[in-house]
Parts: sequence; C-alpha cells; structure tokens
Amino acid sequence: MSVFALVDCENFYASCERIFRPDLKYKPIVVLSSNDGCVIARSKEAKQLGIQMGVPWFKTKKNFLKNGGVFFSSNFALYGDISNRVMNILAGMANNIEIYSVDEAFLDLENMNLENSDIADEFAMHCRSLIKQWVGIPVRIGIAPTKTLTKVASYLAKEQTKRPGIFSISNNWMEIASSLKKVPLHEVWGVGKRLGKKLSVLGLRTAYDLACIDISLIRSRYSVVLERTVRELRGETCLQLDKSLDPKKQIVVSRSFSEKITRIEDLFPIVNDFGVRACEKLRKENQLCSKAGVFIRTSPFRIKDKQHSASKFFTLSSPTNDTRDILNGIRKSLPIIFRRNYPYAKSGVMLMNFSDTHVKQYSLFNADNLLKQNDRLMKTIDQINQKENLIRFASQSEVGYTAFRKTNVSPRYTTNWNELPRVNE
Amino acid sequence: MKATISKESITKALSLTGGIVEKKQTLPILSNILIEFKDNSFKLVATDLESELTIIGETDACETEGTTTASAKKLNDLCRLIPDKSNIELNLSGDKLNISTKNGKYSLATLPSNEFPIFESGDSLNSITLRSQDLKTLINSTSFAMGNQDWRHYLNGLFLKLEEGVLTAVATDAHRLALNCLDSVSDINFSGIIPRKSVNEINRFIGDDNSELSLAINDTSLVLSNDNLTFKSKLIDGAFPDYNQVIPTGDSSLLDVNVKDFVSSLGRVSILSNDKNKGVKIHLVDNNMFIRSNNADNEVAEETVESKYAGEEIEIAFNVNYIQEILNNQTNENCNVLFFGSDKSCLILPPGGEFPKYVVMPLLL
Repeated sequence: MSVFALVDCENFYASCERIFRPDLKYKPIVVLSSNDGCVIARSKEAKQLGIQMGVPWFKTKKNFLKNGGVFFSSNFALYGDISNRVMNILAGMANNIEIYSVDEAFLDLENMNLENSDIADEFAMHCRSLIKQWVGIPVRIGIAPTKTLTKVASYLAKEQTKRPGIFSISNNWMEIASSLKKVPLHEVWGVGKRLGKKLSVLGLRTAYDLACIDISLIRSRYSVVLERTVRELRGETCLQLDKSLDPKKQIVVSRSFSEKITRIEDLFPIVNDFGVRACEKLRKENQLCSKAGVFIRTSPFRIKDKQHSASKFFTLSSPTNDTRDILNGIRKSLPIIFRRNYPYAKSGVMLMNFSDTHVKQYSLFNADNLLKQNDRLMKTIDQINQKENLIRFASQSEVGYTAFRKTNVSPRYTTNWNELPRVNE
Repeated sequence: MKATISKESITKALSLTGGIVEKKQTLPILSNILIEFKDNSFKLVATDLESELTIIGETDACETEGTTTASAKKLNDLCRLIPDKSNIELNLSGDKLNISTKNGKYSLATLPSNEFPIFESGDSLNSITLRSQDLKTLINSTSFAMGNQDWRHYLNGLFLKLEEGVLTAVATDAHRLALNCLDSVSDINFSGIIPRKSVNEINRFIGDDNSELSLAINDTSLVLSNDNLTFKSKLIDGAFPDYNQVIPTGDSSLLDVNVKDFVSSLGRVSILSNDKNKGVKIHLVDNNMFIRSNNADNEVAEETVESKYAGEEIEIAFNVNYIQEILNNQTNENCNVLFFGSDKSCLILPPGGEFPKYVVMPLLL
C-alpha cells in the first residue's frame, strides 16, 4: 500500500529571514516581490494583521510598519540555499522524494504502517525536529495514502494543538471522510478558487462532498484530472511521485525596470543582459534551443502613460546555446517591436523549443564543427564567470543590469563569504 | 448584376478559390471573393495579396452583367449545402447579393468590386507548356521537403528552374533535400522560389486533371494557366542555396532494399523513438539492416530488414520522419540508399536511376 508524506515549510521566505534574526521571533514579517512591488510571503503574525497575499506594498506599508512589522526585499540566494538544505535532509529520510516546489516535497513512505497512527506521527515529529534543529525552518507534515490526501492532512496540521504541525490520515474510509469534512472545497489540491466556484453550483461545499460525487459525472463534465483528484480523495492512489527530472521547457529572463526606459539605446544593453543570463541557464540545463523571443511592455498600472506591449520571436538556423546567436537575434528583433518615446517598464528574453546537447540534427548548409567550437568557447566563458563575472559581451550593460529596487534586502548569509553573519555585532 | 448558375459549377470554383482566402485578414475585402458575370460566363477571383486564383466558367443564364465581392467563406458554405443539381440565382441589389434557390432566399453583404486588389504580375513572362500531371508529380516528389516558417525565408518554398530544356524542382529545409527533373522542349531559361502556400494551392487545383498548362516565371512572379483557370503568385525574394554542392559524391556503400518492407519496419520501430527528435538508428552489416530506437522511458525497438548491402559496417541515425516521407514517394519496388559515412548525408535514389534524388542529413544521437 502506498504511503506519502508532504513536508511543507511554513511561511518559507519569512522563516528564512528569521533564521539569522532571532530578534524577529513573534514579529510580523513580510517579504516583497522583485522591485518591492507587492507582498509575496507573510509570517503568521503578518497574516493575523490582515495582510493579504499579493497586496501592493505601497498600499499596506504604512499600516504594517505602524504595527511593528518588518519587511524584507526578496533574497532568492538565501531562500534557494535554505531550500536545498531542507531537501537534502528529506532526501536522507525516504527512499524517494519529489521536490514539488522551493518549500514543499513529497516523500514516499511505502513501508509505513498507517493503521498505527503513532508510527506516522513519530516519523513526522522526528523529521520536523531535525529540520528545525539543523536548518531552523518550521515545517508542517501531512501523511496519507495518496498525494492529494497528504495535502488535506497538511491543511489540517495547521490546526493541530496536541501535536502541532503534524497530521496523518489512514486508509480507513471513516477516518478519511471525517478529515475531508473539515476541508473547504477550494482548499483541495487541484481544485482552487475558480474550479471550486464552478463545482459549488453542484452543491459541493467540502472536500468530502467532492469525494462522494459520481465519478462518471466528473469525467463527462470536467476532466480526467479532476476525476483523479476525486479518486485520490477516496484513498485510491492515482498519482505516484514524479521522480523524473524533467528538463525545462522554456527559459524566461525578465525584469521590471526601476525607471522607465524610452530610448532603444538604453534598452539594448539591458535586454542583451537578459539574453546572456538566459543562455547561461540554458547551458546549465545541457539544452539547446531552436526558438527565442524578446518582449517589451509599458506599465499597465500607469494608465496615464502611453501603452504598448509587443514580442518578437525568431527561429534559429540550428539548435544552439551560444550566447552570440541569441544576441544576434535580439539585435534584429528589438528594433522591430520598439516604439520611440513609450515609457517601457519591463522586458525579457525567452528561449524555447529545447533539445539535448548530445542530440544534434546535422544541417546541409552549416559547417559541422561550428557548434563544437562555440561549445568550447561558451564553456570556457561560463567557467571563468562562475567565480566572478569577468567576461561580458560588448553589447551588455557595463556593470550587469540590476533592475530591482531593493530597499531592505538581507545579507546572503549562507552563499557569500563577505556577508556572513558577525557574532560581535 | 443578375445570373443563374448551376450548383455544381459554382461550388467547384468556390472551393478552389476558397483555399487562397486567408482565415485571418488584415483588410476586410481580402475575405471576399470577386464575382463577375459577363457574356454568359462567370469569373471568380480570390487573393491574399501574395497569390491570386481566377476561375472562369459558364452560367446557365446571364440576365444583367456586373461585378461585386462577397464573403468567400459564407458563399462557399451556403452553395455547398444547397441540394445537388439546383440552379442558383445571384442578384446584386444595392449593396446586397441576393441568392435564390428553389426553396430559399439569402442576402449577403458585399463590398464594392473596385476595392478588390489587383494582382500585378510584373514584366512580361516567358512561358512553357506542360501536362498538369507532370507538374503535379514534380511537386509531389519534392514539396514535402520545403522549409516551414524557417527564418531563412528562401527555404520556405519550392525552387523551380528551367535550364537547357530541363525543368528542375528542388526543396530543402536544410535537414533534407528533394530534387526532381522533367524534360521540357523549350529553349528559354527561368528560375524562382514559389512560396509554400502557392505550391500547396497549385497541387490542390491541379487535382486529377491532366490538361495542358502554361507555366511562366519572371523575376517576381509566376503565372500558371489553362483554359478556365489562372493562378498568379509572387516569388520569394532571395537566392536559393547552391543545392548541387550538398549532393554527396565520392566513395559510398550501397544499400538496396524493398521500399514496402523498409517503410513498415520504420513505422513500427518509430513508435518507441524519442518524441522530440524521432531518431532511429540504422545499423548495416553483412547484408543485414538493423533498425533500432529507444526513448526516454527506456523502451526499445529493434527490427531486421532483409536487404542487400555492399560496404563497410556503418551505424547512422536519422529523423525517421525524413526517411518515411521520402520512401512514401518512391514509385519503384526497391530503392537505393548510398551511405558516405555515419556523420555524412546519405543519398536516396531509384534503382539504376538518377531522379528523384533525396539527400538526408543524419542525427547525432
């Protein structure tokens, strides 16, 4: 019988900020999006103040700070490293693990006996205390016979007082049903608010209502995906751990600008920077792309400004991960979509139609050794730039584009020697 | 404008011209078709500004001559659904085209015919005549290798060249190349790249007809016509690559294989090939051909195909679609494949013949 655990880091970004700032314990914390635009993470205390997810920072700033709140600009270097540390611990605790997102992972606990809830709870408590002790992140753990039910268990773990942050559901239908009755329909994994609204027309209110519905009705009126969800809610395992490391299907490097840009001469170095970053990511993935694109847009929030949004895609003669090919495409494409005197607020570079570097379709009209030479050059540049960005393309901005307005970014405590926390301060 | 026409005449003409009209238009008039009645005959013209098709036919009765334009799609859909052998009356009244049948009346919006774009075919054209089925064979045996939305715009079409009495068609998407020739009694020379869409349209309106066609090409356009049809198309502005340079020469190993056996084996093996690159490996050794494929799920397929192979052992991979499309265009029972090395292109020819000639670049797997 399948048994899964879902380990979910609580208020992850806010918890990361707290690791090196114990003085912030019990204080409301919010983390802001790139450019300090809106709230993307909240501590429990911030939630209690009524701060909504995604709310624009300028709207809530005054009130939040007045209530003793602390805000941070996003520090993805820190969050990424802390996430890796948590995932490494989890990888040692189960045979198979699926890293679902930066702060969530499914564990395969195939040999666990769910009939005895003490075993599940003991495992969860051990896991929880280990992560808290070794990394300093609080986690919530849900254990159940299906992945969808682990989400339900994780939701119910929030409310646990006896064993906080832990909840397990056995394969017994009575126990599953009583758990599902406590979960609102839109909280079910794969349902959400929009589908939840549609399903509420059928009179469904809770996860239990959905689990009891006629399967054939779901398949005919909705989708096989929702049917899978219903079956999983009933305790039938439909979804296994996704262990495949699916390569990326698309790479997008985009940024909002801290100041509006109206001249193409100013835009080119920035977009070229994005192109260089995108190609570096592509090479890290060991992929080639055969299509790329560039997009620009003005700010839709500044309604008084002239509005323009456009993108231009270009196909490459043969699959490539050579930065020069992409920069060449940008050079030709950007002038086609650019309009003078429009206050551009965001742009980006997209790479798509990927293929593996070890698979190559030879071309009738290209010299075959061209790619190999380029490959060596790009690898060498990547190796040199790994430690410090010493080599840049002439068309890039001189210092590398840092568009973010980050008014209160915490140090990269765990990834930069110069930003280590100091004991004597 | 008032005339009566049989359902069969107008639907055939409408379905042919309908292919030219693009679904998404920048100008409203381009979704319309030009209709003209004159001297007991009708003329339908459709254009997408890159090409134009004119079809002339006979009316049953032409009471008043005239011209207008109406939606190509609506007209086609409507006439198609009218019962067979019906007579259809078209009557322009103000800005409405009234269509009457035995049991129905329909009124369609029109746009003035003087707004309909006229296709300029440029300077005078040198023309040759050829049988339409010969042209169709030439197109069918090569056009599948045309590029599709390639950034090298000159690959997105069929290169047609008349030189020293030989009409040559070449298509390539840079991964494979198809070339075929047709002897023509003519001392004129011309060449041009016909856009992909126009090639497909020519193939469509030729159908099973084997009438005599006049083919003319100048620097910018192509005109193809017979008694009741004229097709004009702009040519792709660009230089077609030097295809002779990529046709492999030198020492090679010859594989002689039954086309049907080869195609069916490839079909089965390709099921377990990688979805992305469709790669299959061909291993040739001692008169044996092994075809293998595998995919990301570690599924494997292998078949042996009876064949004659004289040459060194070789293992080479191809995109299976490229080989299948070429084999599907073989008219002989067997075909010859010449290998020049595992990282070099191969040449596919009919046994003992030179044309049609296909070049396929391998995959590095």
